[in-house]
Amino acid sequence: MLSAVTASFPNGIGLGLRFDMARRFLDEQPDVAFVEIHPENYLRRGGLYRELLDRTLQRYPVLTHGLTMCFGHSSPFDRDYLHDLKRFLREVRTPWHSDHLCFGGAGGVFAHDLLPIPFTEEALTTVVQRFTEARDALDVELAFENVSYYAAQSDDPLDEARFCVEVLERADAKIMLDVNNVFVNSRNFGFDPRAWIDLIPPQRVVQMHVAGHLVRADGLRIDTHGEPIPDGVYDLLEYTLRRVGPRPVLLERDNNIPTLEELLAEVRRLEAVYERALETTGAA
Amino acid sequence: MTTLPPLEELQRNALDTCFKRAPTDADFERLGDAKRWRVYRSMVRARLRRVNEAALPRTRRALGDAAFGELFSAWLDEAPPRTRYFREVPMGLLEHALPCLAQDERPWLADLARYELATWRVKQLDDREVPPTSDLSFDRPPVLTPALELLDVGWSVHRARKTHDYRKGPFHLAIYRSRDHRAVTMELNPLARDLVKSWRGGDEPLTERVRRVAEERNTAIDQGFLESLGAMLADFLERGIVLGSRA
Ligand SMILES: [Fe+2]
Repeated sequence: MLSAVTASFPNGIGLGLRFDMARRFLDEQPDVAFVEIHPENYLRRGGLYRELLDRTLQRYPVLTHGLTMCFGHSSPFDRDYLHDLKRFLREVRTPWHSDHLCFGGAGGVFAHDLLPIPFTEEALTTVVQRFTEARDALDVELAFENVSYYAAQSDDPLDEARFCVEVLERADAKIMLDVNNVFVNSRNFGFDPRAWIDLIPPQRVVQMHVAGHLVRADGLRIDTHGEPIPDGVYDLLEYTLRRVGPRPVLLERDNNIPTLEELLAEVRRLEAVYERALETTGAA
Repeated sequence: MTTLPPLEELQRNALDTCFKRAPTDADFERLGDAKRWRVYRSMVRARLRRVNEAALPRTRRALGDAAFGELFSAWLDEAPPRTRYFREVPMGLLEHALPCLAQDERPWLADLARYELATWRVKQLDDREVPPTSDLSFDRPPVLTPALELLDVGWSVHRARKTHDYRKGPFHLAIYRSRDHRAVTMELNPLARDLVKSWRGGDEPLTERVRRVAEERNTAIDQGFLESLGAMLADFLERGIVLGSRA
């Protein structure tokens, strides 16, 4: 079961607050269920970003999604960061916080990207330990996001889902299920994305992401968050919602940000998918 | 699958391969899926390059893509980013590149980069933690906005924008964040620069600071001085550089 806090957050389709669209978005205040923000963009920062955040908090429920905690990191946590983050999460009143199942640096150096971890017992132990430590320090419900990855980490690509399930169980964790990432990986590594979704215990899913991605000339799909959502991702979202039930679903768009009208048209299409999926489960 | 080294070593190797100037085939192969780790290397570098170019657009144009790319590669190879805040990444690049820029035959180049980065930083500085403030009083310590950078440059890099025919200085710049979040640059005379510098931090009342700076500059505190000081303080209060006095 979802906890009371988790269950009380508005379900439906939300948008990420991104600098390129934020001012118009906040001037017009369109109906979206929630707004997702990256704490790293606001921690220890004033100026325009802070003003945009304050305006967002006045109007929308906010969810937080970190970029640099990276549960697969093998270096120890930066205590100052956890301290600042904890304060920030309280300030924006997020019911949970999520970050990625990957690593983003080593030995104090940051790649500023999401790099893949092998699906090994050693990595599992690291992730479970780090996840638990972060949740204790932040004192908030914590979820990890499954990432898109490009370098094979196992002979059987469904090992990624099995790895996620192990983390969920061993750390009593939640997952921020990125449907686009499952789709991208399924095309890059040749597996059935529904089989991947089927392995995840529905009650562990707190939130979902959907996005578009780039298909390179050589066929490799890259999770750019810079394209419209393709039909395959809409279909997989519908399938996942039927299985999991109503959850907050975020449209991620970080690059090539289109006009607000185009973004909202995507939100409305997602809402239609959402309604349809939940009608058939009777959960809407 | 190839057998991988322990996680920590694998992650260090991965970062090393992304950042070193000329990784070998063996560097990629020890990560497992060599072909795709090449994709990671180019993605990581492209992203970092973009933020540096966004922070230093005029410096990049002045240098040209190849020379900028050379500074970028040297930085990643020798002193890769150690900040988790993406917006602070260019600070690391500049710190590393500055000695090299200072050697350039264009004597204004390092100043241009320092100036661009100061304006980049001013737009972000956290100004939420200021002490409680009351109306400005000479008997109490002044409170300045934390969103302020004082920068001395040898050339007028803050004036020309497209051409590089800068005037020789020195110029004492105060770059602050306006209420509508722009970075605004003011030129200060040496006395005003010293005054503003003396107003940051500390517990001394404003009078003491003014007296000390006037003394160091051999400036008499006469009617003219007081009038200029009054006008300067009024202007700085209006701009939000001086916030008032500590309550
Ligand atoms: Fe995502």
